[in-house]
Amino acid sequence: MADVKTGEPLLSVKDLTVSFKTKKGMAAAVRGVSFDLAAGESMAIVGESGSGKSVSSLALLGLLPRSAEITGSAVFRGEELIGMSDKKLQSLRGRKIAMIFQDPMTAFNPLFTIGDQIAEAMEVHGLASGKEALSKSADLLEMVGVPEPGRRIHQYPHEFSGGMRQRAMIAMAIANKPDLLIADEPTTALDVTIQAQVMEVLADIRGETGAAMILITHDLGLVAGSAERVQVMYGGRVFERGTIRSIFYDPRNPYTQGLLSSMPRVDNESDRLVPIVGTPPSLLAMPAGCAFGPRCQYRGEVCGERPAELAEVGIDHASRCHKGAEIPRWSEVSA
Amino acid sequence: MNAPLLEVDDLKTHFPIRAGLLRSVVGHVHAVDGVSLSVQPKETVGIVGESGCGKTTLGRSILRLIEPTSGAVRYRGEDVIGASRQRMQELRAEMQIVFQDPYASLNPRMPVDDIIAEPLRVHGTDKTAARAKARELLDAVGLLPEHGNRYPHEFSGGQRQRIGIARALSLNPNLMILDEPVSALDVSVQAQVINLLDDLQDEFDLTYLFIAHDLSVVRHISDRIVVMYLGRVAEVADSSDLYTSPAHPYSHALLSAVPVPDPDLERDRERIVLQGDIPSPSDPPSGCRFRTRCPLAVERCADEVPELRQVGPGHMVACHFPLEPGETLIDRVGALAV
Amino acid sequence: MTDVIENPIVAGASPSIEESQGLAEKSESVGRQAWERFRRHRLAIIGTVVLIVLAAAFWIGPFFVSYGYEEVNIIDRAQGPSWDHPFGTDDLGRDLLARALRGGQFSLRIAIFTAVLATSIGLVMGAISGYFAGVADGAINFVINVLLTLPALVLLALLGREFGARPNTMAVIIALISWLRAARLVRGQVLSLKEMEYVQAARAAGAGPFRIIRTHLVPNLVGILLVEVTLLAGTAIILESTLSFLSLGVQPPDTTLGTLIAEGKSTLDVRPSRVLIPGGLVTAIILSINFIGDAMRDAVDPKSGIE
Repeated sequence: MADVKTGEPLLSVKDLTVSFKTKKGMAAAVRGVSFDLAAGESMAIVGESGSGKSVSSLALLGLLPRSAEITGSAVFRGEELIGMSDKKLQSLRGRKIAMIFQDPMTAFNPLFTIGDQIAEAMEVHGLASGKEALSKSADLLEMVGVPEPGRRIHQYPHEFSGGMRQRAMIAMAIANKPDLLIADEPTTALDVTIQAQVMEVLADIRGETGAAMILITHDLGLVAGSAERVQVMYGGRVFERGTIRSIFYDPRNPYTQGLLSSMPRVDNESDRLVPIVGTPPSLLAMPAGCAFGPRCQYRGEVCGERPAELAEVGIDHASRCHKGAEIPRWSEVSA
Repeated sequence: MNAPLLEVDDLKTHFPIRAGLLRSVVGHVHAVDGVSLSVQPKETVGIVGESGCGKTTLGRSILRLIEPTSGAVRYRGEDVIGASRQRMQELRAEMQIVFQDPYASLNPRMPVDDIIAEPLRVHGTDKTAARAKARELLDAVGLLPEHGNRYPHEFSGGQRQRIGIARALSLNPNLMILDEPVSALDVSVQAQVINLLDDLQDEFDLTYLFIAHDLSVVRHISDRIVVMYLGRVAEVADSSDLYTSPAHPYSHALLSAVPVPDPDLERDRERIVLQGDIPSPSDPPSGCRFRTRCPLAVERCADEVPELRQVGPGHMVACHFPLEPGETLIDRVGALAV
Repeated sequence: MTDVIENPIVAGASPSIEESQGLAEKSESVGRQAWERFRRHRLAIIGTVVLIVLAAAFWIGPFFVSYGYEEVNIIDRAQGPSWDHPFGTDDLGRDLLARALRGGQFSLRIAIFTAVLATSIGLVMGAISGYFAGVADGAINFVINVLLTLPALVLLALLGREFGARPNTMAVIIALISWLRAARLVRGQVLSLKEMEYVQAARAAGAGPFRIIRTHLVPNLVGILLVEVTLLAGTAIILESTLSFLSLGVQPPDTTLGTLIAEGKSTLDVRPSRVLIPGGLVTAIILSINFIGDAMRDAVDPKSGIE
């Protein structure tokens, strides 16, 4: 997996688990996630609500509330992130790892100008200050396609449209030339034509800076056009991972297949969708055995007894399923 | 063509913008600004557009949940806008609405069978009969009738949306306005609700006005599609025509912006990324509303409002320079550049 | 919770654990569930008991006390607690136990009556002003703003002098100037509630404004109203004491807990019990009402049942 660019992965996550203490007991949001991300690589984490897709990256950055219990390991450029001191994490966040959130409105302080806030992101890490930082932030806004950046750095967040705010957030995220961008549903709040703009900006930026990206999304369509590798998460576990081609053209896991066949597509007409029955499980009431078991059409006795292991099914392609051998290939299912 | 079930004629809904000490009107939001369309019985018409296009206001104006500023709405030829209070109440039994948010659309303090029975109670059915009907409807939308005494929070998003649909069905309406009914749901659940809507349409002979921003969903469910932009209709076409040969540059750009779950197609696709933001409906551009983002815009587009005109059977477009069938926006831009 | 599947044959196949549990707990009636939620608040149960005991003491107690609340006994004046006068006597030798019971009666009446009345006025005014907007809203807001600019105490004093003295009229007077906050709260809440889609759905079903207010708005306002009632009950007791202290409230020889505290203040150093006893009673009443209010807010909220 680390074979994409260089030998040593940029980020190596091993057996990450995250649970929250709640009144009703422990809620296991992430239950043993492992992956490697090479420098410059783009990986997508796909999942529905409650799949743990966002929690896992928030955990890496120490951005979860104190009630979260995190175990496992995440090594970023040789340094262990789990259990790292707040101070050290802070020096990493926004510097080497930057985050792009779904809602750019809440990511900016309404009382300061956009320019000041981007400049501050640089000043915090001592990379630029004063006039220089402000003029750099104008350059950054220009890079992400905000028109008239010299004027717009003096505007407040509410004077930016949703799409422009998202560009500004990207500008802030890349201000310190991070090695890793984590984009958590970056376009979910945006209209589709604006989404196309923002995704284009993200792709251009990555081309220029060479940053690696983790794209967290529920939208498989978005993944197809913007990632090299994909992890499909369900119930806190990775159910399938592989290259983009293996996930979309040869999905082996019943959940991935179900997701693909339940999506209406804009590019062809289908008479009837094939939904997955049931609802994603609640974190507090995970089914025993395989989390997807109760909704799976291939389930057998063993599926209710214990969770399946993630097993290799091809080159750089793994699936978590007890019934691996019995699952029909996608070419037969989709025909 | 048969007599349409619903006709909307030059409908306008403007909201005043008030400011200052005396709350004087300083402008208007042109949420819906001269929309005409007609819906045949048992047809599904999709209304698609981005934020600010007025699709939600249009749906609510048709039902007079928001009073339109001018224009006409006719249901089976009968004027809805001028209907008396009492007539309106009767008409409301024929036209129902399903909302987007499965959380905000159900009163958290009411058990589910009361929620579903409410329209019946409003129309004078007694409590026992209304409850019995509510349980029947729960069954019809794929929920267990014995769950009727539960409260909304005990259901998942998809189940709540089914409850909203059951409520809309309770008065045996002919027309259902579906306002983003699946956009708040997880992908795997979305498909269940879409299929349910398909089944109910056949079972109860329903006519749907399906409002959504998601073109994939709209294409799947609609017979005809109305594309809206900033309060106006940009294009009306049969579902397959719109996707194979969009005539309005906006429709074309919108379609090409929708991601497809197919990496090869995504890579090879000619994507038109529109420049700029959607203008504010409180200060829409003159002439053609789309001209500020249109790669084809010329002076005429700023001066003259394009009328909706026929370019093919059942295919209408509001553009001075519509694309020919088979022609893409990129072809056209290329041809102009030469 | 597992989504129920379209095909009923498949539906039976995959009930989750949660689903079956949910069904089991569901056989209870709505009222019973509310009681279950109320019961979990131990303090509220204690508060209820305390309030019942106090009310019983205030109304039934006087029959068992050998002195009348207005009975002057110069020889026994200004005594500390004793067997004969468990709470002691005041400067005129009146038995303080009898007076405390009489005062408690009036204070509790005024507190509850005022709180309920003021909240009701606030509910009606706020609901009308929030739901109908326009002229009604303008008029009600005008009244509220005018009343807010007038100094409440002066207003109370004037009204108190004019109509005062009786506990019921006192309660009405205090209510007439205390509904403002409730009205504003309700108005704000109604403004946001009426935009909720379930209210739109009711309108789409043809429901009229009064039905909507009754079935959709009021039940969703109960929570904040209950909190308001408990807060107002406290305020009423304090306002009443202030008035009585200024001798504009309940007139002697009648008394209230507030009056008793005021009277005891001058001898606080020598006889702290004269303040501590009525003060303790006021505190007990207000705390009990607050605890009960909190629990009731939970009890009427079906969502709080699952946490």
